[in-house]
Amino acid sequence: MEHSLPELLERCAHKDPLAQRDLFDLLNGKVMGICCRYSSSQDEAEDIFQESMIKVFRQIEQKATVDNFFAWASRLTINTAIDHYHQRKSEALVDLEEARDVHFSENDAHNLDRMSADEIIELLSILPQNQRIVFNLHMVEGFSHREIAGKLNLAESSSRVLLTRAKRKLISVLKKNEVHEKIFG
Amino acid sequence: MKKSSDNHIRQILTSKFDNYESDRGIGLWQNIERDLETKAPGNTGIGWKKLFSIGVLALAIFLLGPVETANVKSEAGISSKENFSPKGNEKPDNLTELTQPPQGIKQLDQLKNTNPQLAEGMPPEATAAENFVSSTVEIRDEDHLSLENTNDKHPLPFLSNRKLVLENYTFSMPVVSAVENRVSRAASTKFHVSLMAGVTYNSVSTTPNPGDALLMHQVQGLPGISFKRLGFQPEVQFGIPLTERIEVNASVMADYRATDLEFTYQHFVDVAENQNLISEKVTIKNWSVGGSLGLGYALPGRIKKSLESRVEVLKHIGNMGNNLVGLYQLPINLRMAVPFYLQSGSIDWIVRPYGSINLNNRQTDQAITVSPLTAGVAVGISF
Repeated sequence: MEHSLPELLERCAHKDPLAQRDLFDLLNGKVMGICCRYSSSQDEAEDIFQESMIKVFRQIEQKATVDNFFAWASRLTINTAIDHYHQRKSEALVDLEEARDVHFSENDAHNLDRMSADEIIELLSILPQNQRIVFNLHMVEGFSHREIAGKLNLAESSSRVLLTRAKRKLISVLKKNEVHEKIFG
Repeated sequence: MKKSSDNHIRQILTSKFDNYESDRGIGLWQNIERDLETKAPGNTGIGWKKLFSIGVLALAIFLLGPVETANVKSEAGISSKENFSPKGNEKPDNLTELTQPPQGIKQLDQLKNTNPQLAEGMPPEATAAENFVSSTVEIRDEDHLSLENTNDKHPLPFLSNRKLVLENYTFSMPVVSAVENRVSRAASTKFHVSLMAGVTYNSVSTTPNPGDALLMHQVQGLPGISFKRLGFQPEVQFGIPLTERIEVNASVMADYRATDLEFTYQHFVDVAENQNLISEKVTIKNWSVGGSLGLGYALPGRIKKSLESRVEVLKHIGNMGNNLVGLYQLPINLRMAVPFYLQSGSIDWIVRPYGSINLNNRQTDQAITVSPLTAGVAVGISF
């Protein structure tokens, strides 16, 4: 990087194409990383990615100085993914009888720790969209169910049910992988 | 224990993803660059432009098609002896037969012409033959509709009275007193000046600014029918004939228009947070002055009329909206018009329906750029 981040943002605010390209190079990996976590396919991830990057550039053009730029860009990307979910969500009702808590075991934690980030993203991609988003928001981003319910326009209990379903599915897959490894090494 | 496992999982995930970067987005720069350069959401002007083009085309087809709907002649009028028939001057078959006297009557006529003395002592049949011949002529007069051009003045401009004779009744019928097509009128090939006053009905197309940090959710103009849409356009037009049918038009004009816009928008940062929807209502009233240059083509038909196309360049003065809504400072409009020339005494009146669209709806710095779309009717005199 030839320029400092504030200088780069300042040039992006003036729509300097070279600065925009530099900022894209700086940011694309992190933004795409978040998009992959919230998407079930490459196409969906690319859609969210492009939308997020455009928003980042537009927002910089309005306000060149952004405190904690990378955290801000991450939050904007997550919100874009949530908007994307709102646009595509089905009206399927959540069955509240499943609200019983499910927890990971230490063994699950051990298995997960051995996986790379890419493998975990692949693991998350098996989840339905609403479960994947709730899982990410709660387990990675650290939002409470109340906050998630507000963001996704859900009842708080629905957020809990979706997380439970996501955990159950992931535990099941992790167990299968464990058995597979024990047998085939 | 179970809860702590969940926390452990959370720590693992956070650490794995904290600095995680994916290289899948590298190849998408070109798409983003293209979007940054050209993004223009919600341009409502395209539909209107298509509609305008279709309207102009339909009007042109209508005006270039057959004009005569009745056998009414403008200047010479129709002879009181002339038949009114759906096929013009074609006589009905039975009338042709009646105007030819029967063979016996013809022979009596020949005899009467060659020998007048003999005719004096002719029997009553001969007189009957004369009566027959004259009666066929009288039947033509009385049994058919005719129009007489009386040149009576009508209280309304553009109209004159003509007599409509039907059987034994005579009616006074107002007809449009149109100027005969300019091709046959020497005076029209001279330089002429027209004073016009137009009443316009205005609409606008709106283009959100793709380069600002605002996301427009809803832009709403005035309802379809509203007095607020009415505007005013006075102008002085100069016509310089080039050929029998083509003339160059130049004009000096002014334009007044008003419009209301209601819109809802968000700053992009609030889009992500899904909050702070802001509603605004802006009223734009402005005058502009300018000039135009174009061509007119005299259309065929009885009534003098032409198809005019011209480019107008205007300069806005006065109210330019606010910091959110902008008008392009030097709008260039394309106007299509079909002026009709009507005669009242020695004055040529002009009635000119027209429509115009904006050609340079370039983006302003404001969040919404407004481009005019106008339909109007101007009335004036030409001398």
